[in-house]
This record gives sequence, structure tokens and C-alpha cells, in this order.
Amino acid sequence: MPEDTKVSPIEALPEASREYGAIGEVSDEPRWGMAIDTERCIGCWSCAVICKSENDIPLGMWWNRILTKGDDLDTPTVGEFGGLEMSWVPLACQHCDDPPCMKVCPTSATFVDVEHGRLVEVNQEDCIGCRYCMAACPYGVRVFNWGEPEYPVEGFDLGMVEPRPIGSVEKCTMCLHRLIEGQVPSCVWSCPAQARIFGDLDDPDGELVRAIEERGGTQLLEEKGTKPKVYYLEPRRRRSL
Amino acid sequence: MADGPLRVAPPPADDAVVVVRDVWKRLGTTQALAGVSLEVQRGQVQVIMGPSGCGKSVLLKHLVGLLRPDRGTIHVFGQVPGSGYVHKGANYRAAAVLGMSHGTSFDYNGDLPMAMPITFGVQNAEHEAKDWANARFLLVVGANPLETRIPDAHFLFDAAANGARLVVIDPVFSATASKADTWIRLEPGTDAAFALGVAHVIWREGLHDEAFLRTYTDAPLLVNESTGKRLRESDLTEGGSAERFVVWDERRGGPATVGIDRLGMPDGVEPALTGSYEVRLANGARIAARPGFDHVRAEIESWTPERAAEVSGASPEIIEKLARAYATEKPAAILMGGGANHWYHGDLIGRAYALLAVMTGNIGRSGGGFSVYVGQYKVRVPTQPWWYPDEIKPPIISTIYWVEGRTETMNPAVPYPENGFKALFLTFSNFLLQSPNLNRVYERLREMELVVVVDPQMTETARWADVVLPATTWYEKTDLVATPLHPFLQLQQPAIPPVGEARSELDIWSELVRRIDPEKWRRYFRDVDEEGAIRMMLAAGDDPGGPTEGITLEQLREGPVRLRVPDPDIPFKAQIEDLAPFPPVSLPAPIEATQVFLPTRRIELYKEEDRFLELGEQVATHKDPYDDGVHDPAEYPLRLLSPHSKWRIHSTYSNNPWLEEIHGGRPRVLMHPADAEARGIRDGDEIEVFNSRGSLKAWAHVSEAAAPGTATLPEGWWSRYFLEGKGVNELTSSAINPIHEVWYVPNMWAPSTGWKDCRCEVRRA
Repeated sequence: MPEDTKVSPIEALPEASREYGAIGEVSDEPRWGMAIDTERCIGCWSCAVICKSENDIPLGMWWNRILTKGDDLDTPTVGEFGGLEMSWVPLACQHCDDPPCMKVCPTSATFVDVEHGRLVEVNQEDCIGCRYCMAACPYGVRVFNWGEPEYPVEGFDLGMVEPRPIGSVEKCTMCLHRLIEGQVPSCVWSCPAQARIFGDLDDPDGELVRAIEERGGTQLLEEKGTKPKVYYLEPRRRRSL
Repeated sequence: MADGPLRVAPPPADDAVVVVRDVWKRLGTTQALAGVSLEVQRGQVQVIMGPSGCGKSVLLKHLVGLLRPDRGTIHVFGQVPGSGYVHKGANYRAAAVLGMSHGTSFDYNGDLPMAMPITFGVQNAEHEAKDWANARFLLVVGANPLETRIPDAHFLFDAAANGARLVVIDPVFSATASKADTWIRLEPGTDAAFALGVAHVIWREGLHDEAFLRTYTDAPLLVNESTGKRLRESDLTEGGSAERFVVWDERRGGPATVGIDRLGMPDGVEPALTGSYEVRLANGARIAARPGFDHVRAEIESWTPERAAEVSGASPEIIEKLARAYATEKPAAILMGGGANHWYHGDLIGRAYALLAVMTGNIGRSGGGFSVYVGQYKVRVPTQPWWYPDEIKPPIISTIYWVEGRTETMNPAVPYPENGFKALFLTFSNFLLQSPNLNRVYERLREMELVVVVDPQMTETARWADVVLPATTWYEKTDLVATPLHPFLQLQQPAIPPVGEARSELDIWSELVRRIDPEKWRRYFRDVDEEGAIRMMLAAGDDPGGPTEGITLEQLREGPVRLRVPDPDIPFKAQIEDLAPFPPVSLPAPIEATQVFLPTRRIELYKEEDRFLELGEQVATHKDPYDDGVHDPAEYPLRLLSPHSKWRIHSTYSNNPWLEEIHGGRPRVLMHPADAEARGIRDGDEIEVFNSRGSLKAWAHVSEAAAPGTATLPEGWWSRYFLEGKGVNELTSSAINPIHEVWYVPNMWAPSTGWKDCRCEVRRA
């Protein structure tokens, strides 16, 4: 699709949908974060697919994947008491407050964006493709551009983000381009199960912080000291008949 | 979907573009087409393009030539019209004006839950999805909304957050089962036994709602012990009405009569629900009669939890606990899906679950109900002026008869064509993949002189067509849509212009009708476009209290508009609150067509029509799956289940490259480790799945998620993804249940396909 026919998906939305995705009032120095409710997550991959579309992610690459806890895709495990269990872990950049990927980057291409909610971002121009960051990231969420990006249909790069150059590393930006427009990331907006809560981790009265406190939100690989800004909410307790 | 290598969208030419198979030579058109060097091998597809006069119109005129009714009928098949009243409606309109027959889809899809017309007199009726959140108890049976109702799944979590209990019944440990408070694994196809066991406990412990049964159902209506038929006033007194039924008034100790114009009981009458009574007929004879519910009582008393457990595989304890919780935690909703409905005896399964909802008075209440969520069938606006212009209606034939031919038990109202079928015109359908008993379907296909497919994609069906007409996707055209789960009308507005030479179905039909019968084209197609059709339908329902009262096209352009239905939308509200007789209307059928399903105009737990009596199905009961009688369980020990997949909508998006990256593009057959081990099969192995109807080769997925004794292969995979075979429907059955032929109203009381009623064996490939 030619560049000039592109319409911002945000602008194209009906007002009601824009309202649904609006971040609302924002403090001067937010610390953007997210909670993912694994009780509500249904493993549908909608967030991963819209991420691919929103960010023009080429074939073979995913910024956001849905892991099935304990086993292969959609395969349950046998739990402690012999019952079957299955739940999902949507996994993308954790936007750590202490990101190991940044520490190893020789060109400072990866940085904590203090102007935009302290998210971990990559300046693609400065990336030299050494992939130290990929080795350093304990979450395995960074992907490398080995060649020319390929799309399912030529010319149908519908996303609103510049394609990344060959030889550079890319990852989830928390839809920075949407945040700037006052809209939540597309994975949050699109989640049909309403499993994602986006907000300011420094706002003690916000829905995000309250949910993390009430539900005892946990971070992935907390022991690594990376201080992720993404939290996971545990499934509710089951009642027997 | 809108683009890609399989899009049927040839580059621009000056005229309609057709894709042709060599069958045209059989039709004797080789001469006319010699100029375009049409050297096509069997099964190969070519696109015909070229300058005017090269023969393209000749092809279309041969379609015209086929329109001679003396040589048989052209059968049009399009999928459920609820998902697009305009373009799917264009099929009906064209069939009506050109004298073709039109096929049904809701019944053919196996989605028509025959328990609904049998019990409630309606095609189907369900609580809108948002009402799930109002339930205190959710019983999900044979349904997997987390994978197949993805946008609505959150309502289950909303209910759970409000303290509701979620119980899931499924042989497979599904995504939905993983969220349940309690997951109950049943032997596939034994739900009726299980539900009757639950009913047994509810009855035994007195947890049922007697007032509900008396007021709204046929429970108190007396049945003549010797004939099995209900007593009428006319049986009791000379000149009495045949439309007044008889109850036993316990207060007076004698018979009383009730009419059909209003639910409830005459003042002061306290009808018996059980027992046997002597009644004196007009001719002086004394006969024994029992209330309809006494027949239900006898049946459920025989289903002790122990017996129900033995058949269904659930424990007697869980049956008892479930019964108590379901009957006391109100409102309680039953959400039934295709897994329970897609059986030859799916009607009995549905009737058994419906019995639970009726016995506990959970009908017509927010948060309660017995809802069967299947298909996008629902016609929510009066479509008649658009579909059936000048009240001309095409003969509508249950598509299963195209496959099976006439049956001995076929209802005489089925307009089966006198000279048979000679051509098939398919739209909105991957018919040659998604039909049951595919090898038989392919045999029928050989009898067709012409197969035309209208599709945006080069599907398995399009590959077999003589002519493929490139269609627009829904991203490229205007339509009016609604769904059963959300009572909103929505204008589908094009997001992109038509790709290549693709045209909408309405455009295609208009063009065909113009060439075939210019006079009819001028009258019925020339001056109407999508918006005209929509205005026509909106106007037809724009009466005070009508479904589209005050709804305009202009409003729809701004966004979805809620239909004029109660909020939340709950079936049978008028019956429960205002004592209006059953059934409510099922569009597009007139009420007269469906009223006959319920001669009592009440919820019918007892059926008196001869065939129900002959087959012993007066009340809900359990029968073993049909395929057990076709395939010896010793030889074919596994049940083959073919549920919907979250990676597709049936076969649509089967070839989506992004989704292929997720699921790997390999059809996997889910098997239990014990079954796999017994056959020397490991996870990922190539395997053959077969029965007497067909076979396929795919890959094994070995997991505890599978029920022992089952093989599960989600439907919708295109044939080309298999190692061998056309797909799961080579094995599925097209058997017709004669109960489904007692009446005939297309898509409403008609043969419903039993996809899951299928045995097979698996071996290493």
C-alpha cells in the first residue's frame, strides 16, 4: 500500500473506540507499566497478531508471543494433585527498570526513555547488530532482522511504524507511537478478554497499581533483579462442588 | 484474507472473468471456446480472459441453457444468512426469480439444535452473551467459548468475578475447562444420560419448581395411556374443542380443560403432575391417563446417579453435587455448544439439558436459561421483501437431501426436485471441505452438469468448480449484519475497494440475471443496490414494537444500533412475564409455520407425534450414539471428535500466514497417551485416521488433554495441509434422524448433521 494512502488506525477509529483506548489523565513523569491477568488470558494470540500488524513485524518474527505454561502450545500439564492445568503467559519486552540489554549495548542504541514513561526503547539507527542484548535479555523477547523484511502480502505493510533496517535488533516498544497519541498499547486495546491493564506504576490510586496490590502481582524472573514493569496476576482459586 | 497468493482476483479484463474446468467440453462448448486455446487437464484450473467475443459470454449463456427446469434443478447453497442479509439474501432473491432451489445451511451445519423446536417451538433462542455475567451458576456443556466465542469469553470471567460458579462439561480438557471451578469429563455422546441423572437428583430431593412446570409447560396435560396422545376437550365432550387440553384438577378430583391462547391454569385449578387417573370419554369409554410429566418422572427415576454414571463416566457423587448446586444457585445458565449438539441424537441430549432448566424454572430469567450457541444463523429483521420479491419464494431444500437423496421418512413438505439436481451454485461456502461424509458428496458432485463457485479465495471447493467467479471479501462490500449473541444491527462498510476484478454477490447475481432474463433483471435487480436492500428490510420491521422500529441507515452508518429487544435480551420473556403462548416467532418463517411444533403452545417435555411414539422418544432419554451401529466399536474403538479451532472460523483463515506461524500449519490429531502407546504412536508421528467412510493422514498430538478412547481433529483444515486425504469430513456421517423429519420448516425443523457421532481407528502411517 503506498505511503500516502496510509491512514493512522487511531484516526480511523470511531470515537467510541478511541475513547475505549484513551489513556486519560497522565502525570508529568509517568512510569508506564502493565499487568496481565492470567485468569482472564485465554491464549488467543489476538494481542500478538495485532502487535504484528500495528508494528509491521515481518514474517517469522514476533515481538509478543503467548507461552503455554509448562508445555507446548495449548497442551496442559498434570498438576500437583493429578488434575490437568493450563494457563498462558503472554510474553514481550518487560521494559525493565534495570534492563540488562541496555547495559551490554556498546552503542547505547538501547536506552531507557525518560521522556516517555521510562520505557526501554531502541534507536534502530544506532544498532550495529551485535546481538549482545539478545544474549543478555533473560526473557528472550528480542528479535533480529536477518534480511529484507517479508510480509504475507507484498505492499500490505499496514503498520504505523518505520520498518527496521537489516542487521538491527527489534522488540516491543509498548506502542510508543500510540502512547504519544494518548492511546494505550494495541495489545491492551485489542485484548478481547480484557486481561491487560495499562497505566502508571507511580500512581498509587490508579487501576494498575491497585490490581497489582490486590491480586499480588508478580514479575517474571524477579530474582534476576531486572525490575520489570510488566506484572502478572495469578488465576483465582477454584471452588469445588 | 483480502489479498495473498490464493485470492481469486485476476487482473482487469473487459468482461466478467470466469475460471473453467474441462467440463465445458462435455457441455459441447469446445468449438465456441477454441479461440482461447482452452486445453485444460482434469482438475486443473484456468482463468479465462480475453477480448470481447472470445467466448466468455458463451460460457455464461451455457449457464443460461442449464436453466431449463425439465432437466433438473440448479441448487444454490450459501452459508447462514444471519451474517449478511444483503448478499446472502441476493442468493435467495436470484433463486426466487430464476426458479432455482436454495439449500439450507443451519441444519446442514449440524447447528440447528433440534431440542429447541421440539421443546420450545423455536429455531433457536439464546441469552445475549453479556447476560452470562448475571448468572450465579454457569454450566458450559460441549462448548468452548474461550476458543470459539473469543470476544465474549470475558463475560464468563465477569460472572466469576461476581462470585458465579463455572462448571465445564467436555470430554477434552479445553481452554474453557482450564478456567472452570469444576471440569467434568464425560464419555462423548452420553450427555443425555448424565443430565437425566442430574434431573433424577433434582426430582428426588424436591429441588424442582412445580409452579413453573404447571404454568408454562405441558407437564400437567393428560396423556391417554393406551394411545400415547394427549387428551383434548373434544375427547371428553361432544363438540368440545380439539385445541383445549385436559388436566387432572386435584382440588375437584376430576378433569379440567385449558386453552392454548394463554399460559397458566384456569382460576382455582390445581393440576396434578404425576399419577394415573381414570377419565370418561365422550363415547362413554373409561380410559387411564397420566400427566405428561409423569412420563418424565418415570424416565428420570430410572436414571439413578449410579446408572447415569455408568453410562457417562462421571461419578455418582459429582452428579449429586452438581444437581444440588445447579438447582439452588440461581439464576443458573446452561450454555450448550456443538460438542453436545452435533450428534445424531443431539436432540435428546439437548432435551435432557433443557429439562434441567425447565424443572428449575430457569427459563426467561436474566442470568439463567438454556442457550445453545451455534452458528450465525439468526435472522433478526424481516428479510422477506428483499429475499422474496413479490412474495416469490424459491423451493428451499435441506442440503442434506442433495447428499443423501430422498429418504423414506422424508417429510412430504420438502420440495425435492422432481427431476433431481443437475447443477450446484455455491457461495459463501467451502462446501467440498465442510460437508459431512465428503466421499459421498464427491460422488454426488460427479452427477452435476455444472458447479459454479463464488469465492474470494481459491479454496478446495473453488479448485473443483467448473466456473469460479471472484467475489469480494467482507472488507470490500456493504452489508447488514447481526449475530445471535448480540442484539445489534451493524452496517458492514467497505474498508478497501474491491481487489482485482472481484465483485459482490449482489453484483454477480445482477449480471447473471441480466443475461439470463433481462425482463426479470429490470424488475428485480436493475434498480436495487446494497443500501436499497437495507432500507427495504429496515422499513419492513419499522412498525410500533417491530424489531427495527425507528432504525435508519443513517444511524447505522455511525455505528451499531441495538435492536428493539429487551435489555438484556432474554428469550421467552413475554411467555414468562405475560403468559403469552409459546412459541415466539422465528424469522423469517411466519408464526403459523412453527406453531405446529407445539400443539399445546406450551414448553413441551412430552411429544405425541407418531414418530416420537414409535421411536420411544416421547420424553428426553438417552440413546447410544448412532455410529456405534455403523462401525463396530471393536473394530473402530475411537470416537472421532472434530471441534472448532481458535485458529480459523471453520475453514476461513485456514491459510493465514501469521496464524500458520503460530500453529505450525500441521493438522494434529489429539490422542490420549494410553491410546497412543497401545498403537505404538508417539507425539508428532505421522498417523492414519480411518473408518469405512474415508481416511486421512496427519500428525499425532499425544496429551492427557484427550479423553481416553477419542481422537480429536479440529475441523476446517484445508485438504492441502494433510499428508493424505480431504480432511476430517471424509470420516463424518451424513445420516438423517427421522425425528428431524416429523415436520419440515427449512433451518428450523429439518435434519441436523451429527458431526461428532463418528467412530474411527488410528494407526501409524
